[in-house]
Amino acid sequence: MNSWKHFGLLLILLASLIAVLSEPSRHALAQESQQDSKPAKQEGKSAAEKSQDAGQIDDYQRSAQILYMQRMGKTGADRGQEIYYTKCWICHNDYTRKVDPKAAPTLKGLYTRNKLMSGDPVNDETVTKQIKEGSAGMPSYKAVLSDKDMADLLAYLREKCCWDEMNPAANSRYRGQ
Amino acid sequence: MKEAHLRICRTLFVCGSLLIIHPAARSATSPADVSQKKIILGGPRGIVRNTAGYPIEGMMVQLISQKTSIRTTVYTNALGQYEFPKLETGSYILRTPRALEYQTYEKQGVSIDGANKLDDIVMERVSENEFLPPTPSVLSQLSDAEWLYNIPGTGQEKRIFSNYCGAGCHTYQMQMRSRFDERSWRLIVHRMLDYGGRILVGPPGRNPVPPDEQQEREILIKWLARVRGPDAQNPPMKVFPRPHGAATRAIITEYELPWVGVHVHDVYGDKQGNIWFTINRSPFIGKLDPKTGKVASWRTPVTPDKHPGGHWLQVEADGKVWYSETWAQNLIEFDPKTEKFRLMHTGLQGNMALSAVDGTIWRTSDYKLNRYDRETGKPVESFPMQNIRETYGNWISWDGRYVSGGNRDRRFDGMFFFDRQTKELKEIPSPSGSAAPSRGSFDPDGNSWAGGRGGVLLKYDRKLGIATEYTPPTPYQTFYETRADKNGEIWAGEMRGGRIARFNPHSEQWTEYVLPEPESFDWQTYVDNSTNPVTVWYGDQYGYIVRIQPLE
Repeated sequence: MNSWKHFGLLLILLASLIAVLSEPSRHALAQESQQDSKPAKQEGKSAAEKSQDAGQIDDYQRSAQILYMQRMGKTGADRGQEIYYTKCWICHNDYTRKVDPKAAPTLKGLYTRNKLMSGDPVNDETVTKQIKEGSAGMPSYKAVLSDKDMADLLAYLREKCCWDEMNPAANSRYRGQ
Repeated sequence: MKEAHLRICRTLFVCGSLLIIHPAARSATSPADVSQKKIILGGPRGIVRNTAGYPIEGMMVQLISQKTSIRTTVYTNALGQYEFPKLETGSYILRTPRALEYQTYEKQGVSIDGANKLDDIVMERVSENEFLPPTPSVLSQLSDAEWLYNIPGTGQEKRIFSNYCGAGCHTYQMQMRSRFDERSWRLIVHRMLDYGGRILVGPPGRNPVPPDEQQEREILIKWLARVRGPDAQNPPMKVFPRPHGAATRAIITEYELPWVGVHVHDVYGDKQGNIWFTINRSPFIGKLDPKTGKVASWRTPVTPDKHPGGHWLQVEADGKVWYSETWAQNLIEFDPKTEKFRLMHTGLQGNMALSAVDGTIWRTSDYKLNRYDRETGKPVESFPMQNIRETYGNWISWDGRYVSGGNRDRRFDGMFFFDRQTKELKEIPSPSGSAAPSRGSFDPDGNSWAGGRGGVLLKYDRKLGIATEYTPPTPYQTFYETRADKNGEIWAGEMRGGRIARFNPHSEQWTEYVLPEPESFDWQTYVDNSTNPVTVWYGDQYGYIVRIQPLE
């Protein structure tokens, strides 16, 4: 009985060796890799490398575009729009103001006004200070927004503000036209 | 040294392979066994391996059509092999989304024509050890659950954060990429929790806040100020394991929409195979043709002074589209043939239950379950409830007999269950008291299922008369809704995990399909039961539509 068991086990071992050595298998792939092992960066272009080189993040990873607020543009007022929509709109919108008079003011036409609510004149320096330092009712964004973020946001506030929910920005990736 | 190490690895691998076929090991299904189930898809194929030559299982491989922008993603099996379905001939971008511990592979201008054998993808780790450096690239690929797993805090702090900040309005990236002092966090928490209407355009809510809630808020604010304060650093990150086995046998397709910065809420299929959807924060409904990726959209009527945007949506058998508006609080019928809208002001936002059998419309409001008139949108029949003021989601059974809904009020956490024949209405508390059931659906047997924002699927078993909670394998989840398919399996977006969950109530097995993006902001799953296996759809809060085609 024992000898049958041993014979059976031997057969199983042989069969498994054939299975392991036959293609495709992990073992075969491992052997192949010794001769033909190239890192991804040599075959294509790694997004990590690309981000290091260009100071950007993965163009096709949506979460990266969202996290670094680049869906609406890479720089300037276009990117500023996304920063505004993500960071400012939730308080500075027309609707809240209508139901709560104490709510944050709209930022439409900010640079055409004489003064901020603080009494300071409206210019890049005072707007930056307001955003970075905050005020009694506004958080301080100095540890949140980088200098580039601030520059893009100010460009948007000066040139294009504000987010129009009735006419959202076009998606340049959409090809269904 | 490396060579010796490789030799040892190879020897161990061969021994491991032998063990797999040992009779004692045969009873358990191994990933290698399962991965060799041959499912021929007939499209481009290839192999992904690491720089040491070993296959990587569960790596997502994606082709983006440069003609349509449609993204098709498949997974590698235990041998590192992947195969796409047949794709339109043309030029594509080949990449490995959410490669996390590996550097993302990307290759432009890949020519696809039939069942191409693509060049091997060889991937390099971003770190020699298991903890990943918190680089911009790594951080941007983390799911909310991975964030929560990695940052410091007690179980209580993290659970309070999940309870208060995990309702489904945005990913945790919003908090995790922020650095505020305590004063600023206090202002933000107040704004987020005390203003109404999801995007906070409603008036300030309760004042004062109940003492027990105030105490939890303090814990939340102090924790945020500690772990996301101005000087907080990100630790090295430990990411969750890659999918394997059954979870790698699916095709994920993502569709772009014409706008950026919009938020898809509900999706629902019509008889022609189109997917209709609501846009939550802009005045559109749309129809996606999955074959071409083309979107037709209609601008919905605007209610003055009300923020535009839709919510619940369902397509009836005659092709008419019913949907609700969040802030304008209208119920709308849209006829695609005439392109005419018919508005009924209900004064209610959110989710209706529309019977596919008799067209009746149901929703809870002010401690009553109401049936609404299809012509006027006014209640015509009411049934009182004792504990539940209103439920967030409302749904009706496949045969139209039962109505149910989920209530996430901390005073009564549970569901109602109404039998239209007997007129009996039950209010059933959840076992934990913290399931926070939201939206859901019935299974074909008439059991009610809800996705719980408390991180569970909540079932009310009609025959046994009991409620049961089911927790997914991936931690720190929240659910928003759930949808049963024709086989009784339950589908739901694991909002914090970048996964679509498939739960089999009979075997109590979970399959989690990892998505190419770390978020799965699924506010309503739609299951197309006409295919075999079923086809699953959802529209993401971040503005794209996703199809999941399980291969088994």
